[in-house]
Amino acid sequence: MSVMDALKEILVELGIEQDAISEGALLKGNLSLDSTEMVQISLDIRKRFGVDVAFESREDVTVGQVCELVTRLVEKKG
Amino acid sequence: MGRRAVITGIGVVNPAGIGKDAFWRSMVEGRSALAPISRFDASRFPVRVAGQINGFEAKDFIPRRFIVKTDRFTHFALAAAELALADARLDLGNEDLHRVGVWFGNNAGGWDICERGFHELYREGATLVNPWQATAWFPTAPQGYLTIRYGIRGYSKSFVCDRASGASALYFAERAIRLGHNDVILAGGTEAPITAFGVTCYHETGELSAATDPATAYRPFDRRRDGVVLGEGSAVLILEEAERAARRGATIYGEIAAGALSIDPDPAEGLAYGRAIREALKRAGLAPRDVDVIFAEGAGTRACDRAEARALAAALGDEAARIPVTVPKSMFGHLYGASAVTEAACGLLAGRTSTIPPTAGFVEPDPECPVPVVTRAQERPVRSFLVGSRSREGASAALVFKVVPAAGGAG
Repeated sequence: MSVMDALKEILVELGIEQDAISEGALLKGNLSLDSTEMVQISLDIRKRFGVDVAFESREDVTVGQVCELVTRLVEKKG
Repeated sequence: MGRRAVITGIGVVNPAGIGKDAFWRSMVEGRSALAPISRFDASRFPVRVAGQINGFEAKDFIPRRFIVKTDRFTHFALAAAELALADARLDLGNEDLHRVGVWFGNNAGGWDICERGFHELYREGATLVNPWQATAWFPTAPQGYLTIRYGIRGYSKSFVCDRASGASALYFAERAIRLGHNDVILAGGTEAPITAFGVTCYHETGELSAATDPATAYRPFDRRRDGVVLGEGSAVLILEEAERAARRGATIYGEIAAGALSIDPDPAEGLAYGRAIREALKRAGLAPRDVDVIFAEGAGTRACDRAEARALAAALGDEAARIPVTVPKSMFGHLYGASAVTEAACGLLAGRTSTIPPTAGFVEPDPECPVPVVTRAQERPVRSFLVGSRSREGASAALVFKVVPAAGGAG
Protein backbone atom coordinates (compact mmCIF):
# COMPACT_ATOMS: atom_id res chain seq x y z
CA MET A 1 0.00 0.00 0.00
CA SER A 2 1.31 3.44 -0.90
CA VAL A 3 1.93 5.97 1.84
CA MET A 4 -0.91 8.12 0.49
CA ASP A 5 -3.38 5.22 0.57
CA ALA A 6 -2.31 4.36 4.11
CA LEU A 7 -2.75 7.97 5.20
CA LYS A 8 -6.23 8.07 3.66
CA GLU A 9 -7.12 4.87 5.48
CA ILE A 10 -5.93 6.31 8.80
CA LEU A 11 -8.02 9.45 8.29
CA VAL A 12 -11.15 7.52 7.29
CA GLU A 13 -10.67 5.32 10.35
CA LEU A 14 -10.79 8.50 12.43
CA GLY A 15 -14.13 9.37 10.87
CA ILE A 16 -12.98 11.97 8.33
CA GLU A 17 -15.17 11.98 5.23
CA GLN A 18 -13.41 10.38 2.24
CA ASP A 19 -14.42 13.30 0.00
CA ALA A 20 -12.71 15.84 2.26
CA ILE A 21 -9.32 14.12 1.99
CA SER A 22 -7.03 15.48 -0.72
CA GLU A 23 -3.29 16.16 -1.04
CA GLY A 24 -3.83 19.85 -0.46
CA ALA A 25 -6.10 19.51 2.58
CA LEU A 26 -4.65 21.02 5.78
CA LEU A 27 -4.97 18.66 8.75
CA LYS A 28 -6.21 21.38 11.10
CA GLY A 29 -7.35 24.13 8.77
CA ASN A 30 -9.45 21.95 6.49
CA LEU A 31 -10.02 18.65 8.26
CA SER A 32 -10.20 20.31 11.72
CA LEU A 33 -8.31 17.52 13.43
CA ASP A 34 -7.75 17.98 17.14
CA SER A 35 -4.56 17.23 19.05
CA THR A 36 -5.62 13.68 20.00
CA GLU A 37 -6.37 12.86 16.38
CA MET A 38 -2.93 14.17 15.38
CA VAL A 39 -1.36 11.87 17.99
CA GLN A 40 -3.34 8.94 16.61
CA ILE A 41 -2.01 9.66 13.11
CA SER A 42 1.56 9.58 14.48
CA LEU A 43 0.88 6.29 16.29
CA ASP A 44 -0.65 4.71 13.23
CA ILE A 45 2.26 5.82 11.02
CA ARG A 46 4.73 4.36 13.51
CA LYS A 47 2.83 1.05 13.56
CA ARG A 48 2.62 0.82 9.78
CA PHE A 49 5.99 2.25 8.69
CA GLY A 50 8.20 2.16 11.78
CA VAL A 51 9.06 5.86 11.55
CA ASP A 52 8.37 8.73 13.91
CA VAL A 53 6.48 11.77 12.68
CA ALA A 54 6.22 14.48 15.29
CA PHE A 55 3.68 17.18 14.48
CA GLU A 56 4.50 20.68 15.67
CA SER A 57 1.51 21.71 17.76
CA ARG A 58 1.32 25.19 16.25
CA GLU A 59 1.99 24.39 12.64
CA ASP A 60 -0.48 23.08 10.13
CA VAL A 61 0.50 20.71 7.33
CA THR A 62 -1.27 19.26 4.33
CA VAL A 63 -1.99 15.58 3.73
CA GLY A 64 0.51 15.74 0.83
CA GLN A 65 3.26 17.14 3.07
CA VAL A 66 2.75 14.36 5.64
CA CYS A 67 2.94 11.86 2.82
CA GLU A 68 6.26 13.32 1.56
CA LEU A 69 7.69 13.38 5.08
CA VAL A 70 6.82 9.75 5.75
CA THR A 71 8.19 8.68 2.36
CA ARG A 72 11.48 10.52 3.06
CA LEU A 73 11.82 8.98 6.55
CA VAL A 74 11.09 5.49 5.24
CA GLU A 75 13.76 5.91 2.50
CA LYS A 76 16.28 7.23 5.03
CA LYS A 77 15.60 4.26 7.26
CA GLY A 78 16.40 2.03 4.28
CA MET B 1 -44.70 31.59 40.89
CA GLY B 2 -40.93 31.22 40.59
CA ARG B 3 -38.93 29.32 38.01
CA ARG B 4 -39.79 25.62 37.72
CA ALA B 5 -38.08 22.75 35.90
CA VAL B 6 -40.39 20.79 33.61
CA ILE B 7 -39.51 17.71 31.57
CA THR B 8 -40.14 17.99 27.84
CA GLY B 9 -38.14 15.09 26.42
CA ILE B 10 -37.17 11.54 27.39
CA GLY B 11 -34.30 9.54 25.89
CA VAL B 12 -33.69 5.96 27.03
CA VAL B 13 -30.97 3.50 26.04
CA ASN B 14 -31.60 0.47 28.18
CA PRO B 15 -31.23 -3.33 28.14
CA ALA B 16 -35.04 -3.50 28.06
CA GLY B 17 -35.29 -1.30 24.98
CA ILE B 18 -33.74 1.54 23.00
CA GLY B 19 -36.03 4.56 22.81
CA LYS B 20 -38.76 5.32 25.35
CA ASP B 21 -41.54 3.44 23.55
CA ALA B 22 -39.69 0.12 23.18
CA PHE B 23 -38.41 0.45 26.75
CA TRP B 24 -41.84 1.18 28.16
CA ARG B 25 -43.48 -1.73 26.36
CA SER B 26 -41.03 -4.07 28.07
CA MET B 27 -41.70 -2.43 31.42
CA VAL B 28 -45.49 -2.70 31.37
CA GLU B 29 -45.29 -6.24 30.05
CA GLY B 30 -42.92 -7.12 32.90
CA ARG B 31 -40.34 -8.48 30.45
CA SER B 32 -36.96 -8.79 32.15
CA ALA B 33 -33.82 -8.07 30.14
CA LEU B 34 -31.51 -9.72 32.67
CA ALA B 35 -29.50 -12.54 31.12
CA PRO B 36 -26.31 -14.54 31.53
CA ILE B 37 -23.33 -12.29 30.82
CA SER B 38 -22.31 -12.67 27.18
CA ARG B 39 -20.09 -9.60 26.70
CA PHE B 40 -17.08 -11.58 27.92
CA ASP B 41 -16.46 -15.13 29.13
CA ALA B 42 -17.94 -15.02 32.63
CA SER B 43 -18.02 -18.77 33.15
CA ARG B 44 -15.36 -18.57 35.86
CA PHE B 45 -16.56 -15.29 37.32
CA PRO B 46 -18.28 -14.98 40.68
CA VAL B 47 -20.97 -12.89 38.91
CA ARG B 48 -22.96 -14.40 36.03
CA VAL B 49 -26.03 -12.26 35.36
CA ALA B 50 -26.38 -8.68 34.12
CA GLY B 51 -28.56 -6.37 32.08
CA GLN B 52 -26.75 -5.94 28.75
CA ILE B 53 -27.85 -3.90 25.77
CA ASN B 54 -27.82 -6.05 22.68
CA GLY B 55 -28.22 -4.58 19.24
CA PHE B 56 -26.97 -1.10 20.11
CA GLU B 57 -25.10 0.43 17.19
CA ALA B 58 -23.35 3.65 18.14
CA LYS B 59 -23.19 4.66 14.48
CA ASP B 60 -26.98 4.88 14.34
CA PHE B 61 -26.75 7.91 16.64
CA ILE B 62 -23.23 9.33 16.61
CA PRO B 63 -20.72 10.49 13.98
CA ARG B 64 -17.68 8.24 13.68
CA ARG B 65 -15.29 10.94 14.90
CA PHE B 66 -17.07 10.87 18.28
CA ILE B 67 -17.26 7.09 18.44
CA VAL B 68 -13.52 6.47 18.05
CA LYS B 69 -12.62 8.93 20.81
CA THR B 70 -15.06 7.72 23.43
CA ASP B 71 -15.97 4.71 25.55
CA ARG B 72 -19.21 2.76 25.44
CA PHE B 73 -20.65 4.69 28.38
CA THR B 74 -20.29 7.92 26.43
CA HIS B 75 -21.81 6.30 23.33
CA PHE B 76 -24.90 5.47 25.40
CA ALA B 77 -25.06 9.05 26.69
CA LEU B 78 -24.73 10.62 23.24
CA ALA B 79 -27.43 8.29 21.90
CA ALA B 80 -29.82 8.94 24.80
CA ALA B 81 -29.32 12.70 24.36
CA GLU B 82 -30.18 12.48 20.65
CA LEU B 83 -33.34 10.54 21.50
CA ALA B 84 -34.31 13.01 24.23
CA LEU B 85 -33.77 16.08 22.04
CA ALA B 86 -35.79 14.50 19.23
CA ASP B 87 -38.54 13.62 21.68
CA ALA B 88 -38.58 17.21 22.95
CA ARG B 89 -38.55 18.52 19.37
CA LEU B 90 -35.82 20.86 20.52
CA ASP B 91 -33.21 22.12 18.06
CA LEU B 92 -30.27 23.35 20.11
CA GLY B 93 -29.09 25.25 17.04
CA ASN B 94 -31.82 27.80 17.81
CA GLU B 95 -30.91 28.18 21.50
CA ASP B 96 -28.63 30.54 23.39
CA LEU B 97 -26.04 27.85 24.15
CA HIS B 98 -24.71 29.82 27.13
CA ARG B 99 -28.05 29.07 28.85
CA VAL B 100 -27.99 25.35 28.06
CA GLY B 101 -26.28 22.93 30.46
CA VAL B 102 -25.38 19.27 30.83
CA TRP B 103 -25.91 17.73 34.27
CA PHE B 104 -24.87 14.12 34.35
CA GLY B 105 -24.24 11.21 36.69
CA ASN B 106 -21.71 8.41 36.26
CA ASN B 107 -20.06 6.12 38.75
CA ALA B 108 -17.63 3.81 36.99
CA GLY B 109 -16.07 5.64 34.06
CA GLY B 110 -15.08 3.76 30.92
CA TRP B 111 -13.78 0.25 31.54
CA ASP B 112 -13.85 -0.80 27.93
CA ILE B 113 -11.20 1.73 26.93
CA CYS B 114 -9.21 1.01 30.09
CA GLU B 115 -8.90 -2.64 29.19
CA ARG B 116 -7.78 -1.67 25.71
CA GLY B 117 -5.30 0.82 27.20
CA PHE B 118 -3.82 -1.80 29.53
CA HIS B 119 -3.29 -4.18 26.59
CA GLU B 120 -1.61 -1.44 24.57
CA LEU B 121 0.61 -0.42 27.47
CA TYR B 122 1.77 -3.87 28.52
CA ARG B 123 1.90 -5.55 25.11
CA GLU B 124 2.97 -2.73 22.79
CA GLY B 125 4.61 -0.21 25.09
CA ALA B 126 3.99 3.22 26.51
CA THR B 127 4.37 5.06 23.22
CA LEU B 128 1.57 3.10 21.56
CA VAL B 129 -1.26 3.71 24.02
CA ASN B 130 -4.27 5.25 22.29
CA PRO B 131 -4.43 9.05 22.64
CA TRP B 132 -7.96 8.97 24.09
CA GLN B 133 -7.11 6.89 27.13
CA ALA B 134 -6.70 9.89 29.44
CA THR B 135 -9.97 11.57 28.53
CA ALA B 136 -12.27 8.73 27.49
CA TRP B 137 -12.23 6.70 30.70
CA PHE B 138 -13.07 9.65 32.92
CA PRO B 139 -16.58 10.00 34.47
CA THR B 140 -16.90 13.56 33.10
CA ALA B 141 -16.40 12.37 29.51
CA PRO B 142 -20.14 12.27 28.72
CA GLN B 143 -20.54 15.89 29.84
CA GLY B 144 -17.50 16.86 27.78
CA TYR B 145 -18.58 15.14 24.59
CA LEU B 146 -22.20 16.24 24.87
CA THR B 147 -21.09 19.86 25.18
CA ILE B 148 -18.67 19.47 22.26
CA ARG B 149 -21.25 17.75 20.09
CA TYR B 150 -23.93 20.42 20.55
CA GLY B 151 -21.69 23.44 21.22
CA ILE B 152 -23.17 23.80 24.70
CA ARG B 153 -21.50 26.52 26.81
CA GLY B 154 -23.74 26.93 29.86
CA TYR B 155 -23.29 25.92 33.49
CA SER B 156 -22.71 22.13 33.61
CA LYS B 157 -21.63 19.53 36.17
CA SER B 158 -20.93 15.80 36.53
CA PHE B 159 -21.66 13.74 39.64
CA VAL B 160 -19.99 10.64 41.01
CA CYS B 161 -21.94 9.31 43.98
CA ASP B 162 -22.16 5.54 43.66
CA ARG B 163 -25.77 4.43 43.16
CA ALA B 164 -27.03 7.97 43.77
CA SER B 165 -24.95 9.54 40.96
CA GLY B 166 -27.92 10.04 38.64
CA ALA B 167 -30.18 11.29 41.42
CA SER B 168 -27.55 13.85 42.39
CA ALA B 169 -27.43 15.12 38.81
CA LEU B 170 -31.23 15.51 38.72
CA TYR B 171 -31.32 17.20 42.11
CA PHE B 172 -28.76 19.84 41.16
CA ALA B 173 -30.13 20.25 37.63
CA GLU B 174 -33.56 21.20 38.99
CA ARG B 175 -31.84 23.65 41.29
CA ALA B 176 -29.83 25.18 38.43
CA ILE B 177 -33.05 25.91 36.52
CA ARG B 178 -34.87 27.20 39.60
CA LEU B 179 -31.98 29.54 40.52
CA GLY B 180 -31.72 30.82 36.97
CA HIS B 181 -28.33 29.37 35.98
CA ASN B 182 -29.79 27.47 33.02
CA ASP B 183 -32.94 27.58 30.88
CA VAL B 184 -32.45 24.18 29.26
CA ILE B 185 -30.61 21.17 30.69
CA LEU B 186 -29.72 17.75 29.33
CA ALA B 187 -30.04 15.96 32.67
CA GLY B 188 -29.11 12.35 32.80
CA GLY B 189 -26.69 9.62 33.56
CA THR B 190 -24.89 6.76 31.93
CA GLU B 191 -23.05 3.58 32.82
CA ALA B 192 -21.27 0.72 31.01
CA PRO B 193 -19.58 -1.49 33.60
CA ILE B 194 -20.15 -4.85 31.89
CA THR B 195 -16.54 -5.66 31.07
CA ALA B 196 -14.34 -8.28 32.75
CA PHE B 197 -12.54 -5.61 34.74
CA GLY B 198 -15.62 -3.54 35.52
CA VAL B 199 -17.59 -6.48 36.88
CA THR B 200 -14.57 -7.57 38.92
CA CYS B 201 -14.32 -4.16 40.59
CA TYR B 202 -18.04 -4.09 41.39
CA HIS B 203 -17.82 -7.64 42.72
CA GLU B 204 -15.24 -6.43 45.20
CA THR B 205 -17.87 -4.23 46.87
CA GLY B 206 -19.36 -7.50 48.11
CA GLU B 207 -22.81 -6.32 47.05
CA LEU B 208 -23.36 -8.10 43.73
CA SER B 209 -25.69 -11.07 43.46
CA ALA B 210 -23.91 -14.36 42.82
CA ALA B 211 -27.09 -15.91 41.38
CA THR B 212 -26.84 -17.75 38.07
CA ASP B 213 -30.54 -17.76 37.13
CA PRO B 214 -31.59 -14.46 35.53
CA ALA B 215 -35.20 -14.99 36.64
CA THR B 216 -34.33 -14.83 40.33
CA ALA B 217 -30.99 -13.01 40.38
CA TYR B 218 -32.39 -9.58 41.28
CA ARG B 219 -35.34 -9.49 43.65
CA PRO B 220 -35.52 -6.33 45.72
CA PHE B 221 -37.41 -6.64 49.04
CA ASP B 222 -37.87 -10.41 48.59
CA ARG B 223 -36.91 -12.52 51.59
CA ARG B 224 -34.39 -14.47 49.51
CA ARG B 225 -32.72 -11.48 47.84
CA ASP B 226 -28.96 -11.71 47.64
CA GLY B 227 -27.63 -8.57 46.03
CA VAL B 228 -27.39 -6.06 43.22
CA VAL B 229 -27.42 -7.05 39.55
CA LEU B 230 -25.53 -4.67 37.28
CA GLY B 231 -27.01 -3.13 34.18
CA GLU B 232 -25.76 -0.73 31.53
CA GLY B 233 -27.36 2.14 29.70
CA SER B 234 -28.27 5.79 29.79
CA ALA B 235 -31.27 8.01 30.32
CA VAL B 236 -31.56 11.71 29.49
CA LEU B 237 -34.36 14.08 30.39
CA ILE B 238 -34.71 17.47 28.74
CA LEU B 239 -35.41 19.95 31.52
CA GLU B 240 -36.71 23.38 30.61
CA GLU B 241 -37.79 26.38 32.58
CA ALA B 242 -41.59 26.03 32.71
CA GLU B 243 -42.58 29.33 31.11
CA ARG B 244 -40.27 29.03 28.13
CA ALA B 245 -41.38 25.44 27.60
CA ALA B 246 -45.00 26.59 27.53
CA ARG B 247 -44.11 29.50 25.20
CA ARG B 248 -42.56 27.21 22.60
CA GLY B 249 -45.53 24.86 22.87
CA ALA B 250 -43.48 21.93 24.13
CA THR B 251 -45.13 18.72 25.25
CA ILE B 252 -44.70 18.65 29.02
CA TYR B 253 -44.47 15.29 30.77
CA GLY B 254 -44.29 16.72 34.24
CA GLU B 255 -42.02 18.60 36.58
CA ILE B 256 -39.41 17.96 39.22
CA ALA B 257 -41.45 19.44 42.04
CA ALA B 258 -38.73 19.17 44.69
CA GLY B 259 -35.84 17.14 45.97
CA ALA B 260 -33.80 16.66 49.10
CA LEU B 261 -30.46 15.06 49.94
CA SER B 262 -29.17 13.56 53.17
CA ILE B 263 -26.46 11.31 54.55
CA ASP B 264 -26.90 8.49 57.02
CA PRO B 265 -23.79 8.25 59.19
CA ASP B 266 -24.74 4.58 59.53
CA PRO B 267 -25.89 3.42 56.07
CA ALA B 268 -27.77 0.48 57.60
CA GLU B 269 -30.04 2.91 59.47
CA GLY B 270 -31.89 4.91 56.84
CA LEU B 271 -33.21 7.57 59.20
CA ALA B 272 -31.61 10.43 57.29
CA TYR B 273 -32.99 8.93 54.06
CA GLY B 274 -36.44 9.06 55.66
CA ARG B 275 -35.89 12.71 56.54
CA ALA B 276 -34.93 13.46 52.92
CA ILE B 277 -38.19 11.89 51.74
CA ARG B 278 -40.22 13.96 54.20
CA GLU B 279 -38.33 17.12 53.32
CA ALA B 280 -38.78 16.59 49.56
CA LEU B 281 -42.53 16.11 50.00
CA LYS B 282 -42.76 19.21 52.16
CA ARG B 283 -40.86 21.30 49.62
CA ALA B 284 -43.18 19.98 46.89
CA GLY B 285 -46.20 21.00 48.97
CA LEU B 286 -47.46 17.41 49.09
CA ALA B 287 -48.53 15.05 51.86
CA PRO B 288 -47.71 11.32 51.86
CA ARG B 289 -51.30 10.55 50.78
CA ASP B 290 -50.69 12.50 47.54
CA VAL B 291 -47.97 10.07 46.40
CA ASP B 292 -49.33 7.58 43.85
CA VAL B 293 -46.26 5.39 43.51
CA ILE B 294 -42.71 5.11 44.84
CA PHE B 295 -39.81 4.10 42.62
CA ALA B 296 -37.54 2.75 45.33
CA GLU B 297 -33.78 2.35 45.33
CA GLY B 298 -34.32 -1.40 45.83
CA ALA B 299 -30.65 -2.27 45.68
CA GLY B 300 -31.50 -5.87 46.54
CA THR B 301 -28.94 -6.35 49.29
CA ARG B 302 -30.18 -7.48 52.68
CA ALA B 303 -29.09 -4.35 54.54
CA CYS B 304 -30.04 -1.73 51.91
CA ASP B 305 -33.60 -2.93 51.42
CA ARG B 306 -34.15 -3.25 55.16
CA ALA B 307 -32.91 0.32 55.73
CA GLU B 308 -35.04 1.60 52.86
CA ALA B 309 -38.19 -0.06 54.22
CA ARG B 310 -37.46 1.58 57.57
CA ALA B 311 -36.95 4.97 55.92
CA LEU B 312 -40.23 4.74 54.00
CA ALA B 313 -42.13 3.77 57.15
CA ALA B 314 -40.60 6.63 59.12
CA ALA B 315 -41.27 9.19 56.39
CA LEU B 316 -44.75 8.16 55.32
CA GLY B 317 -46.34 6.82 58.50
CA ASP B 318 -49.57 4.88 57.92
CA GLU B 319 -49.46 5.72 54.21
CA ALA B 320 -46.36 3.52 53.83
CA ALA B 321 -48.56 0.44 53.91
CA ARG B 322 -50.74 1.80 51.08
CA ILE B 323 -48.49 3.53 48.54
CA PRO B 324 -47.34 1.02 45.91
CA VAL B 325 -43.58 0.54 45.74
CA THR B 326 -41.95 -0.66 42.54
CA VAL B 327 -38.42 -1.37 41.38
CA PRO B 328 -38.43 -1.66 37.58
CA LYS B 329 -34.62 -1.89 37.60
CA SER B 330 -35.20 -5.50 38.66
CA MET B 331 -35.86 -5.98 34.92
CA PHE B 332 -32.73 -4.27 33.54
CA GLY B 333 -30.22 -4.10 36.38
CA HIS B 334 -28.93 -1.29 38.52
CA LEU B 335 -27.73 1.58 36.37
CA TYR B 336 -25.91 3.61 39.06
CA GLY B 337 -25.25 6.86 37.14
CA ALA B 338 -28.37 6.35 35.03
CA SER B 339 -30.40 5.12 37.97
CA ALA B 340 -33.03 7.55 39.29
CA VAL B 341 -33.04 9.22 35.86
CA THR B 342 -34.39 6.01 34.33
CA GLU B 343 -36.83 5.68 37.24
CA ALA B 344 -37.93 9.29 36.69
CA ALA B 345 -38.59 8.39 33.04
CA CYS B 346 -40.59 5.38 34.26
CA GLY B 347 -42.69 7.59 36.52
CA LEU B 348 -43.40 10.12 33.77
CA LEU B 349 -44.36 7.33 31.36
CA ALA B 350 -46.47 5.74 34.09
CA GLY B 351 -48.27 9.07 34.33
CA ARG B 352 -48.75 9.16 30.56
CA THR B 353 -50.10 5.63 30.34
CA SER B 354 -51.69 5.32 33.80
CA THR B 355 -49.75 2.10 34.32
CA ILE B 356 -47.33 1.24 37.11
CA PRO B 357 -44.59 -1.17 36.01
CA PRO B 358 -43.91 -4.24 38.17
CA THR B 359 -40.95 -5.48 40.18
CA ALA B 360 -39.74 -8.68 38.54
CA GLY B 361 -38.58 -11.60 40.63
CA PHE B 362 -40.40 -10.55 43.79
CA VAL B 363 -42.18 -13.57 45.26
CA GLU B 364 -41.76 -13.91 48.97
CA PRO B 365 -42.26 -10.89 51.24
CA ASP B 366 -39.71 -10.24 53.94
CA PRO B 367 -41.15 -9.37 57.38
CA GLU B 368 -38.19 -7.01 57.74
CA CYS B 369 -39.24 -5.11 54.60
CA PRO B 370 -42.98 -4.64 54.88
CA VAL B 371 -43.46 -2.56 51.72
CA PRO B 372 -46.34 -3.05 49.26
CA VAL B 373 -44.29 -4.20 46.26
CA VAL B 374 -45.98 -4.09 42.85
CA THR B 375 -45.58 -7.55 41.33
CA ARG B 376 -47.76 -7.10 38.27
CA ALA B 377 -48.34 -4.00 36.13
CA GLN B 378 -51.19 -1.98 37.66
CA GLU B 379 -53.51 0.33 35.78
CA ARG B 380 -54.12 3.43 37.85
CA PRO B 381 -53.63 7.16 37.55
CA VAL B 382 -50.23 8.53 38.53
CA ARG B 383 -50.28 12.24 39.33
CA SER B 384 -47.26 12.45 41.61
CA PHE B 385 -44.50 10.03 42.33
CA LEU B 386 -41.38 9.71 44.42
CA VAL B 387 -37.98 8.46 43.29
CA GLY B 388 -35.61 7.24 45.99
CA SER B 389 -31.92 6.71 45.45
CA ARG B 390 -29.17 5.70 47.85
CA SER B 391 -25.45 5.13 47.77
CA ARG B 392 -23.80 2.21 49.51
CA GLU B 393 -22.37 4.50 52.17
CA GLY B 394 -25.65 6.24 52.95
CA ALA B 395 -25.84 9.33 50.71
CA SER B 396 -29.52 9.52 49.85
CA ALA B 397 -31.71 11.48 47.50
CA ALA B 398 -35.48 11.82 47.34
CA LEU B 399 -37.07 13.45 44.30
CA VAL B 400 -40.74 14.30 43.95
CA PHE B 401 -42.31 14.63 40.51
CA LYS B 402 -45.70 15.93 39.42
CA VAL B 403 -47.11 14.53 36.21
CA VAL B 404 -48.86 16.61 33.58
CA PRO B 405 -51.65 14.52 32.02
CA ALA B 406 -51.44 14.00 28.26
CA ALA B 407 -53.43 16.63 26.37
CA GLY B 408 -56.92 15.32 25.68
CA GLY B 409 -56.19 12.19 27.67
CA ALA B 410 -57.68 10.99 30.92
CA GLY B 411 -55.98 11.15 34.28
